[in-house]
Amino acid sequence: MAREGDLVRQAQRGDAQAFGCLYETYADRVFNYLLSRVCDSAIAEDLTAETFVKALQAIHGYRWRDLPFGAWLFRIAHNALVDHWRSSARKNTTSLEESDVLSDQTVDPFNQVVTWQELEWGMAQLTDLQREAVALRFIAGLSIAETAKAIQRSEEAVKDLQHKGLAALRKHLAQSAR
Amino acid sequence: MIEQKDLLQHCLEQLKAGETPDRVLARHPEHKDELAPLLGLARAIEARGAESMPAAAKARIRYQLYGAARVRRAPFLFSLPTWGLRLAMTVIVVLLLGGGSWVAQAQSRPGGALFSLRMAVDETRASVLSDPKQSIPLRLQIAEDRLADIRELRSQKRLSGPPIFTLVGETEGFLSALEQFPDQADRALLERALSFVREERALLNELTERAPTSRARRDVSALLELSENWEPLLLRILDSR
Repeated sequence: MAREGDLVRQAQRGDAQAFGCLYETYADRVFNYLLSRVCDSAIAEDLTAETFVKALQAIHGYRWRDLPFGAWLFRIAHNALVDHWRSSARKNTTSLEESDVLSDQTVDPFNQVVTWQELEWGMAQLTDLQREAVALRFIAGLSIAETAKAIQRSEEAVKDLQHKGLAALRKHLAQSAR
Repeated sequence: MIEQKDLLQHCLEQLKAGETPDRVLARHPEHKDELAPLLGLARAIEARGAESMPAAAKARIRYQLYGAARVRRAPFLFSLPTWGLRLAMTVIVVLLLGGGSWVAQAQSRPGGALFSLRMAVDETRASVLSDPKQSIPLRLQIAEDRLADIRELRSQKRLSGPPIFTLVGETEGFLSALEQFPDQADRALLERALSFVREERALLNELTERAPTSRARRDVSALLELSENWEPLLLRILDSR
């Protein structure tokens, strides 16, 4: 983490290579987080680009003590997502019938595979905060503390959202698989 | 009594620390039936999150970022009318970091497995030269090589987006160095560069007109817009001589 702090400081001084390293560290996770929410790789790519360009433009104002870098970045990604939904004036409502074949929920839970389509559909059934908590925790790979900072809730609240979100997601996926 | 949410988080932490699911669940037999599917689902979602984004997409965004970084150092560009136009203007590359075999790179050809390595080595060569008098001609040479690569790929009908981004990036890298140290280039080099950027712009123009998809057209148009500054910059430096 100290290395990440150094990279952030160098990037704040205008070091493009340092920002490039931060990009390499977070690009996959940001892209997957956005892909899980829009389920369209071209849109996810555009939003990923937008997230990092905005981060680059705003990094001079970023302060570590207020927010871990990852949480700050995912907050930008989330805002990009909200702007996208606002501008497209609709939330993607892919039906499960259009998606790939569903996972068999009766298999060993530790060997199950969830497709992006299943995930998007299942996540759409959650509350906004549950969806955000599950995406940030398990797709973006943020810790409880980072997620709490990113969505501006307490750590206890994030644990609750994580538990309820996973339980609801499991229920919806299992029901639709029948 | 421990709450379910805390128990779940505790188990997730144990799994993350490398414990096997069986061992984690064995510690909580009374909650096994409820925990197992949640932990399994969390793992399945994590597996999705661990996937890599497509390499071409990653490269495209990297170019945009280096371009945006350069624009950040050139505030006048921010007076352009919209953020979208600004972003379009910033689709550039400067660095493809890396290193590798100097022998292998000499044998690589566009589209071959070592092609990207060759570009990375070229970039490394240029960036390690601290003397602008040496690095500026080398950067122009690298950009000219990329243009030759594009022509070769095109003749083989194998031209795709990334080499075009790379070409523009190399040209930007050259012009960026030249802008910083205009006195380090002689007139002959400037005239060669002028001829080169005209050739490159003509190619971009042609590629824009013949782009096979709307996305490709959008990408190349953004590069073409970016290249509008090249000739005026070179003419300005030439005029000052």
